[in-house]
Amino acid sequence: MYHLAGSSVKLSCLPGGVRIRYNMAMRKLLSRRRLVVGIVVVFFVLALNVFATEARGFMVQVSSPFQAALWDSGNSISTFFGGGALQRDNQRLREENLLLQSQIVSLQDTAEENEELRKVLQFELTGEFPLVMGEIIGKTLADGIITIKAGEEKGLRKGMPVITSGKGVVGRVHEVFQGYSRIQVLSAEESKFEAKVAGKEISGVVAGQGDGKIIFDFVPRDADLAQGDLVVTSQLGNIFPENLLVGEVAEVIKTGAGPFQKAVVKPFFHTKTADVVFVVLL
Amino acid sequence: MMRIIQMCLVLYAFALLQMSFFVHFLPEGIAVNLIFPAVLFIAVFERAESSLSIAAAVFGGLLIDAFSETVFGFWPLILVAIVITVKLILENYVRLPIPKKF
Repeated sequence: MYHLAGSSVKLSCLPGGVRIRYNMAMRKLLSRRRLVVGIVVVFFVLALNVFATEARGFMVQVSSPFQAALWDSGNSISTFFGGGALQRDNQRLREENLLLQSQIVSLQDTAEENEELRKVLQFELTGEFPLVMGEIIGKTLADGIITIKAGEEKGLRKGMPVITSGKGVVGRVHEVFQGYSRIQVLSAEESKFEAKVAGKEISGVVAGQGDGKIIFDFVPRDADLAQGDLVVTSQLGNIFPENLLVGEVAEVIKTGAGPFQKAVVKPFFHTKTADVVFVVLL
Repeated sequence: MMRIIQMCLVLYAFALLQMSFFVHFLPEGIAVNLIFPAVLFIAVFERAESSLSIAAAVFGGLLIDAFSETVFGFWPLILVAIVITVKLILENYVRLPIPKKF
């Protein structure tokens, strides 16, 4: 397999043989002391997996003051260079738009609801279900996880739904610590929940695809799914309250001869612009 | 030892910056990774007998694992493999006069 010749090692297992200079530098690198340190590190890392939750909780608690400060400063700088007051107005109008769309969906679903119910829906969100506000302090977009500044002490539990002020779906509580929680956003690859199309008798499953993308899958092929349709949560699955806004159908995909069609959905929740979310205490 | 501590602090700062600061400046769904290039930088510009890049790979990988959902040890393993490959290539096949600073 290998042949020592002076200070070189020839690895004949590789095509054409590869001669690597096993010189003093490599010998020093692989010294006994460093090998022992390496073995200790390997055991330490393996042990970390036994206490993975506690280790991550500790990291979140230690890092959260710095993350909160960096988040605020990054937000201020991006707002300043991104238009300042104009961007804040844009964000406020976007949230108001989502709330108005949510009101339209509720009225469509229960047509006999009258003017008094419309007034109730225009009150603060806490009139509908108990909420806890959580300020976003960090994002790990590769895993579809965001960190918020609300935890066990405020009654949060794993699995609780998370929404925006405009009643748009954010995701679900994934891990809870003292003072902080990690939220799995709806575009995370492990995220799946029942949903429906507002105003139509069409049901399906919203599945996260990673990188901020979601699809609306397992929709019967003969259903009249169209671009622009509003996707909202359904009561099936008991994950989210009904009629929370998920997103808008951007593209309908019908492939092969299978019984289902699916659609690419543009989510209403944007990780980049959101600063606070609300956890529904169910 | 002081260099290792300094390196750990720098990598920790990079981890916090990539999660909480730079997300405001990038398009939706795109995240910057500062730890990878930092570890590669150390691997390229360190002396052959130094192991600072391997320590950086282990610590940087653990930071990535701590702030994500992967098993602890996944990213240290990948980064250490990359660092060792880079060091082998630089030592045996590259003849550029790269200054060795670490």
